[in-house]
Amino acid sequence: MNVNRLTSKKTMATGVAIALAFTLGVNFAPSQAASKNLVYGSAAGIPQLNPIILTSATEMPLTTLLWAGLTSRNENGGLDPDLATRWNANASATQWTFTLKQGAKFSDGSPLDSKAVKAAFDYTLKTPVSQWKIEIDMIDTIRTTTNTITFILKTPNAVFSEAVADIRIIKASEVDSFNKNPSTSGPYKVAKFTPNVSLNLVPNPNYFGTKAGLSGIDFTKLGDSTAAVNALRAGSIDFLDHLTFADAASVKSNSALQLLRAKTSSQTVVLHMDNQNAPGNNIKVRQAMAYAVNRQSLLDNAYFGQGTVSAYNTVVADASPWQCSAKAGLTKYSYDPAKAKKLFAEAGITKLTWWGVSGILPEFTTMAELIQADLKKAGVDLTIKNSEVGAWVAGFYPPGTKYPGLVVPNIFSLQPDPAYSMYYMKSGGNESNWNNSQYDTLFDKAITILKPAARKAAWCEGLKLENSQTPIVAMFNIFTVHAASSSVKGIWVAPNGMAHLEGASLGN
Amino acid sequence: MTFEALKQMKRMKANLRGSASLILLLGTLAIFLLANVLSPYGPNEIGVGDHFAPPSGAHLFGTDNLGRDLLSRILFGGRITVLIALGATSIALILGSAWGILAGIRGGWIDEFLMRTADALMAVPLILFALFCISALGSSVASLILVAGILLSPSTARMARSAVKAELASPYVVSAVASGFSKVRLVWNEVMVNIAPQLLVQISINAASAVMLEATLSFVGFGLQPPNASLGTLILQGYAQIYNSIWFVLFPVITVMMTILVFNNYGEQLRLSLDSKRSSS
Amino acid sequence: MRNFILRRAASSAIVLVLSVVTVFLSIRILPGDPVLLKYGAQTGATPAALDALRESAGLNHPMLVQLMIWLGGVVRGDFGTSFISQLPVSELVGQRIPATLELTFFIVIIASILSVLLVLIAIRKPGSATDRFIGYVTSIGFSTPSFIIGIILVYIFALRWHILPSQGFKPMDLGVVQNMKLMILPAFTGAMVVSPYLIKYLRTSILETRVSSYVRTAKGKGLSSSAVLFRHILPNSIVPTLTMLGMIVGFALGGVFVIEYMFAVPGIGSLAIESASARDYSVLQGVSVVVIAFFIITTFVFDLVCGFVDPRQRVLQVKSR
Repeated sequence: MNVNRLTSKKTMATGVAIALAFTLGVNFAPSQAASKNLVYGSAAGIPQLNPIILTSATEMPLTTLLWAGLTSRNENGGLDPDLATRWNANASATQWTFTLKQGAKFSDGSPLDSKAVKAAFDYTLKTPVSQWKIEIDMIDTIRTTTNTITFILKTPNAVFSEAVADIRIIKASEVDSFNKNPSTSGPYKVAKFTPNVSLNLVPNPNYFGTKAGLSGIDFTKLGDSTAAVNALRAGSIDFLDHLTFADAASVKSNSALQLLRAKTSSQTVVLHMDNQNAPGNNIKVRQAMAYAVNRQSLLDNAYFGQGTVSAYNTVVADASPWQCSAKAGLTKYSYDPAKAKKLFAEAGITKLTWWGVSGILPEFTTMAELIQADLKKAGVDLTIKNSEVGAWVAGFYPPGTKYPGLVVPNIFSLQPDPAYSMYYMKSGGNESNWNNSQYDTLFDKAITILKPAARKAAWCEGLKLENSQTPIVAMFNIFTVHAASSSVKGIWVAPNGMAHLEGASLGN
Repeated sequence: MTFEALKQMKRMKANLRGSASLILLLGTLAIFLLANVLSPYGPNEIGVGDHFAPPSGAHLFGTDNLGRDLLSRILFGGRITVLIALGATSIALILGSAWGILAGIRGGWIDEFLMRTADALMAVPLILFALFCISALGSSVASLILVAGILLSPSTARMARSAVKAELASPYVVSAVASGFSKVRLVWNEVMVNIAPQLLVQISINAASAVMLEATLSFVGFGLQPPNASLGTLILQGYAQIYNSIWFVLFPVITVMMTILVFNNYGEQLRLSLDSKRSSS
Repeated sequence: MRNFILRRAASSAIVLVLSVVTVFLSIRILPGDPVLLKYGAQTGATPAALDALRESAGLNHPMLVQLMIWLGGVVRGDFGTSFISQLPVSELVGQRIPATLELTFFIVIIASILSVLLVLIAIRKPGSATDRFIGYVTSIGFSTPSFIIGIILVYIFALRWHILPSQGFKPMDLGVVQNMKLMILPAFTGAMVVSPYLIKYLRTSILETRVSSYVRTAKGKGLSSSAVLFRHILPNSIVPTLTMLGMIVGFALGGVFVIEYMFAVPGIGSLAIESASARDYSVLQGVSVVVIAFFIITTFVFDLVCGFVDPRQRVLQVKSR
């Protein structure tokens, strides 16, 4: 029967041989990675490119790769000149003048001058919602000359030169079709962009600064953490953004790979409770939560020890040079289940609900299970409720949303300067719904002080209030870890976890 | 009941009494439903062992990332999975049969319409449908039962419809209708009973599919809340920690496969005994 | 025949519209909206600012009005723009369809080849050890969810032996070899999910036809075994197989989304998930129209082809009125 011929041993053997050859041959075929483009892998995709309307953490590295600012932050936490060569402020910090580099251009050749900078700032101030607007919304007028730009502020801002580092100079006329082919002001420009799938960058020939060190960067989206680590080990990606904490150990042991993290951390993991509604409006309950959580154990189990405990319970880290600590009378909230139990009992609380998220941030879920056990010891039953991202966010954003009875985990990745984290705690600005006018006044005063030492003392007043009122449970600061192959050089990680690739190169 | 159907039922009973597949099925169900008797530790007891410990005397399946005994978690997880599967199967049976029988009896436009709706339901991507339902209802055993049950209905409906149509074409129905019996009464009293054997097979197959569905839904993140876990949730957690421990993912995977196999096997046996024409299979 | 087509087309159209409207309404019932998801987590997002954005995006109109506006656009071929990226929905969908189609195509091809080969081996001697062994393997295949097959393949070929990449996608224009390499694991996973059904069906229908009367007649006439196989058995097994193939394509298309998720293939499935999670209404609606329409059309075409190939089916359909 013909069937026999079809399935004879010879045919089978040939078939298998062909399949094997294909697989192996395909493996040894010259792969894309042989070129000098850096392949950047990340578990989440890049949904859009506008740096002023930053919508997700994945877009952050693009802010410095594609655009320049008047100033830029450097690896040591200081400020470097970028488009501006020098700057100064008047004594009352209400007028700031920046001198600009001459002859700079956008990637499309149009002038990157004071007029372009003003247009970018005007756009940021006009746009309904922007991450960065609040840093500069005290601007009253902007005056330009050929080579300078002057900002006149309604109220003093001592850290204005740092604030402008976040306003990347985009070409304001392009905002309506931004994701098609934006003109860039930084070392790279966009070659091709497919939202949430891929992004290809090539060097910007019109960049005014140090030429790009790579022939290009290919951003690609990976599915899950296991596959991501595998891609890194296999060499099909050169850089992995946001390595899962569970995988850090296995990467560490691999000599062909390197782990990258910041020197200090300003990424705080917190628990929110609604300060305006029960039971979060009872200070005893909030303090009880602060004593009930075993911060070190949470750090070790959920984040594999990659971080430092925040015993002072403020959004400013314990190790921050701006922290004023016990010397100034701040209380340490160490793990004390007995004390927590007493406080919860006094407040009459026996039930709480954890409002968590599924699909992202798996560390939150690990924490939920551990905190559930912790709270049991303190006499409280914690029900865990996880929702998908949209529903989770809708449960407690924006500030002002009511969520009685819920405990919500969150993570902030702010700049280390207290101006950022403490601004967040102002009335109407935080998801804990803490509205304290005394704190607001303290903040408004501190921000006007130009001299760092005096400013530090002013911040301290605010920290003392935060520490005693416990509007939020700030548990610990964590280090976001990125991983790369050892041939990648020049990447540094900022305290807020963002990877800076402006100076990256692929060398041997 | 027609003679044909009666013969089928008799055959099924004869073939299956004491058959291996039935014993396996009942055994599996028993093991899971008796989870709290059989499991050595509590399923959510943190720290009874080292993290990621390999199988040992104290922990037959090893431990997970928080030091919980994996065997206990699998037993309780299996119980939840089985409960969800049985619940979903019931919903699919009731909804699907009604759907298919209605289409079969009425025919014409109603039939067309109902079947196109079944097509459309099968067209909706599983993950999308689950995303909607679970975002709206929250993820719990009840919502998973509902989602899985609804997703299994179209195939049940298809099967019920073709069974009903076949019955309606058979002589006893045709003559009864010709003599003036109402179709609806016929279906209710006679046809339903005669398609019962086929429905039974479908139930078993549906149960297997329900376990698969639950596992898949949990794996893509719509499963139960921690610390409770179904088998699918355990696989999800295990896969994320695959570099730390292979056992954490291996045991739940084997358990799920065996559970589905047991259901499928029984369904196969039922179907084989149903069909006397197949001698050489 | 004409009646069949007309009735099918009409009912399909109605169901398509109803499904799409259901998707439209369902996503608006969910908590959260595109404005919140895009801007909500930013410092400085006040309820007033967010509401102003909603107003300008037309999200404050009553649902029915929004539906009418959208349907009006669809009729003109305008599916709107993505709220997050402002790119036209048609462009986004166009970017993602090739990956899904390619994956589905490879799944169907590999499944077909694999199934036919295994069935031909099995039926050489029905009931033999080989036949039973293939039966067991098929049973296990039925009992393994797609993502588990994926995990196993990934573990062996990517994590342990490092032969193949574990996920990702490179479009054809960037290199056929890279594209194929990345397609191997997801395509095989899908094929292994789908093959058991094909194998079972094909085997049963071949064996059935083998013992049927006309084959005995042909053999009695003196036709050689191979001639019998190819001239009588296979063609008569084609109709049920085609029906099966039709279901497989639909099946593959539906199940392919889980595979897309697992292997990070940027196809229509992942676009649907992303836009649902981000509450990007217009994108999700556009994707739903495409997917549901495609599915309904595919089953329609296959039913038509079967009716064509097997004249008996056509008669039966007319009768079932």
